[in-house]
Amino acid sequence: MVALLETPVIANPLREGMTLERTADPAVVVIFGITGDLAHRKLLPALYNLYVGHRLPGGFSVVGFARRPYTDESLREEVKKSLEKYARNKPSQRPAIWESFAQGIFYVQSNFDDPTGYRALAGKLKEIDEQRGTAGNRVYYLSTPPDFYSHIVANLGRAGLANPRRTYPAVGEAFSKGAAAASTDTSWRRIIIEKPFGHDLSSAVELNRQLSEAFTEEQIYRIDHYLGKETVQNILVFRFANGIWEPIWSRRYIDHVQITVAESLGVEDRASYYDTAGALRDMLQNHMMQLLALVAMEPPAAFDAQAVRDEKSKVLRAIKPFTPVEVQQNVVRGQYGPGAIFGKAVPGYRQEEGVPPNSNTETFVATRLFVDNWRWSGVPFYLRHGKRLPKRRTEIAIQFKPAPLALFQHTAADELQPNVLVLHIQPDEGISIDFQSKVPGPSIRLRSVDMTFQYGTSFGIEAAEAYERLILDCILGDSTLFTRRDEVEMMWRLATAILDTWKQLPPPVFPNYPAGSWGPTASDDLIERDGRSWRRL
Amino acid sequence: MDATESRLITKNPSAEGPSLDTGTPVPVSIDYVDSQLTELWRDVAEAAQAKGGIAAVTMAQVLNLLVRADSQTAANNYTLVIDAITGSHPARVITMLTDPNEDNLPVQAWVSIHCQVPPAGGRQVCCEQIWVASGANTVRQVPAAVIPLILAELPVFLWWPKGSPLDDYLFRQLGESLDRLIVDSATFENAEGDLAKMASRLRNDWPKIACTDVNWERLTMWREMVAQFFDGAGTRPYLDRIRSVDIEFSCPTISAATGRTPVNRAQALLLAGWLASRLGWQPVEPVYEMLRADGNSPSAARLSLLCGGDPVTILIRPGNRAGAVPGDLLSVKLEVAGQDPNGPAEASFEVCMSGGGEGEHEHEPEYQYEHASINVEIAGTQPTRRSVHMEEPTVDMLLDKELEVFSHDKIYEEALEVAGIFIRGTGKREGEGPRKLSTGEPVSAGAARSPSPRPNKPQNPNPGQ
Repeated sequence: MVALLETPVIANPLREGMTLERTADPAVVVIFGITGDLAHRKLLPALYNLYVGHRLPGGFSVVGFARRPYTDESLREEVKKSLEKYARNKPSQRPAIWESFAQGIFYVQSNFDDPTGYRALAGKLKEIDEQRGTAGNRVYYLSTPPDFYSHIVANLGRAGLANPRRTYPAVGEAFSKGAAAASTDTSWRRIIIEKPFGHDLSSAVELNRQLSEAFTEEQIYRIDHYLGKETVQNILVFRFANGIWEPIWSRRYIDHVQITVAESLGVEDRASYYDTAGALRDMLQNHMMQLLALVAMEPPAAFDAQAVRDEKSKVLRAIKPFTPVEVQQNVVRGQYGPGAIFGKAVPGYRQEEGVPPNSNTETFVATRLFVDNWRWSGVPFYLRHGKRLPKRRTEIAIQFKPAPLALFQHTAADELQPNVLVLHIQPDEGISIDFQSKVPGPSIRLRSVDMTFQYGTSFGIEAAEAYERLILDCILGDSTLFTRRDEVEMMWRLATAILDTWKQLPPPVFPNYPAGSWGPTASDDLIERDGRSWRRL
Repeated sequence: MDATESRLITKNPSAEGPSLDTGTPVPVSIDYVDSQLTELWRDVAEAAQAKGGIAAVTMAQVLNLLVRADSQTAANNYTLVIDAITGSHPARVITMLTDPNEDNLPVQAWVSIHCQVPPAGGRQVCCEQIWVASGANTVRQVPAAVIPLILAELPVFLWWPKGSPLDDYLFRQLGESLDRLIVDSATFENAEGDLAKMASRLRNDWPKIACTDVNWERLTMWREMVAQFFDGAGTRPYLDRIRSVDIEFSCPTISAATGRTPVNRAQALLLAGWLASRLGWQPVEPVYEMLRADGNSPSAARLSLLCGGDPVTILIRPGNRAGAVPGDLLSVKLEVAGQDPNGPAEASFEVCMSGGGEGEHEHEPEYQYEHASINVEIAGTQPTRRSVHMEEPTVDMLLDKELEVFSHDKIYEEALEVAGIFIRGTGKREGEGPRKLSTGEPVSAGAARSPSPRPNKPQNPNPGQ
């Protein structure tokens, strides 16, 4: 969807039939925290890959804004090194292309809360507009620790960088939203916010409030990189471009849904962040709830930002936050102790570098949720996520109800397996369905077999990185794959109910699962008391 | 060679990831091809199981790919191309090979299976490869051998890598079995005549066949670059005010035998056809004029059109640099006239292959450009210039793209139709009345020919059966 402030461009007839309906307007991407890990591992490679792939227009520029003492030239050198290391396309492969890209990289050194830095940024942007024809179009990418978000947003507003058609009060004055000036300016400003978007409901609401002081909702792009994955987008195509699934996609035929995000890695070098966040905030509150929303949503009226996000939002609203008693019944948390992964001994969470030895941060969470609407009433959604599980696997398994009549009665009961449709998100991206088949031979014996679609074998195309897709969408003004304000707040409402209850309870007995196992036994109990079991992955 | 002698080998493990191959193709009579392939599948599965477990090979075919080869060497080259894209397109490949040195060679077949890990990783996927060979006098029996080998309910592609197929017996006999035809107009002997013929004959005689041209695929990057100029709100209005287009194409060296330079304007004409069809430019007569050239140099051509009431001129001119294939584009420049039509342009948009200085790579047929420079000049603003990656795609990359598309490409068909109008010098279809010839060089041998009759039904070469 095109943001409200923006003037739609008349269609370009030469674009008809091309893969990309249009390329982006010339723009500057301002990366706050460009010296950080995310920028060098993901954002800059994504931008460079887009540039090499002709997805970015001439004049496209990058401005880094951070505290380290770089110059334009030294930043270019740093970026070049990172691209050589992390990007699919390397500068050394095509030096002329790199030179062309590098000419558009600039640096502004400043603290994030220093207004003079933003004045310098405004000057630099004006200069780039004049030299490179970027016409006032900007993407501000917040790739800093979350503590700085509010400073950056407020300073962008005060420096007049957030919204060209608003006037901004001086520090301490009240903000007037009605001061939009009539203008023929068609330039646009957008802001991308990385996770974590708040650390609970009240902080997320406050961050939304601060953002809305400077930006309109149409300008705000809350990134969830899971939504940039091909397999996640394919959930919508699979459900709504095929006529055979929707009729059986309900409580009438589906027994339950399991969503698993299993990681074999530990906290690696993210201990300081992770220990303040935990598995619930890091994964379940955002990525897994988004997966659940995509699986459970009603068909949208159109494939656009408004309609798709309306339907996701309705699903999230239909999940009632747990009461404290329900938290104890429906949520399991865990923390890994020492164990082994892939045959190699690994330390427990509390022994990881940077983790306090008495940390009670959860590295595993499992829950049972219900979506209380006509389609899903009574169908449990089981979600589990953990670190240091035996293997890396993300999947959504939809288990159907058994056949209504046991026709093959002399068949051993344990041979009868339910039909399971599995959407494999990563690795081995694809879709498989299990069904019963007769084992060849004179007697009737059944066995579950599977029919598999694999992206790799069917298309043989290397999918673009999630960040490439999402950054390009933002530059093009399409927010379909970004999270809207109401979605974020509803996801936090559910997570905060759990976090608040955990705070009231006595400290958990951690660690409660060894690294390399499938989580605490309480997680198995959670599902087994319903007569079901976790899929063996 | 007996089937039992076939053995599994691993080819180029480092270059293209581990791949399985059933080795030297096994000779087999046509009616035993399927059972022989079943045997080979078993060999492949056993080898894969030994290497990586039972799930290591995917036995799925998504299309039939028929290939026309006019010599053993050509057939070998095409097999290498297809091997390279097996991972992306598991297919049954049937190569129809005519050996010009063996007039009475009886029709015979060889089979093998080639497997490869796809570029995106995962399991090995496999191509069934069947070669059907014939001699010059037995080629008429080939359709009856090939048609029963086509896998049912899967799309049938015919890749005709060299020349135009329209007058070929094999194509006419196979036409009704085909869904897609892939040609390469860079290899047409008489590019203009053959293009004009394709524009009218395919639509009239084989409307169900979705035809495409790898030379059109070579234009994809050019079209994207040109379209990109007009994506922004600031430059979009210029698209409606373009008054001249300059297209420069490459010419190989002067042929020692004929003393003339072979000219292939196919890419340039398709690009011109694309611009005119998308922008609604109407041809006005004389549509297609040849401009006089000195000595043996090839001529430039001028197309005359109208955009609304305003004239638009497209100049198609040979450049002094070589391309990877005959007629490869070297530069495209679009100009918007200023207030004074004879004065300087108000804006110009140019894509120009670079990678060496002007003339530096003259007459280097193998030279491949790496990037293009994109130049925009708009009155009153600073000119902008940047480099973009624009490598000449290889044949396997082009074929890979073409095999992804299963339906008619409306944009290509409309561009081809307008290119046909340019070449014939009239918007009327062949056979609809007297041709309004353009001036200058004879238009084409193909365009002068009367329309061919509708294709015959496939004939049974063995009527007694």
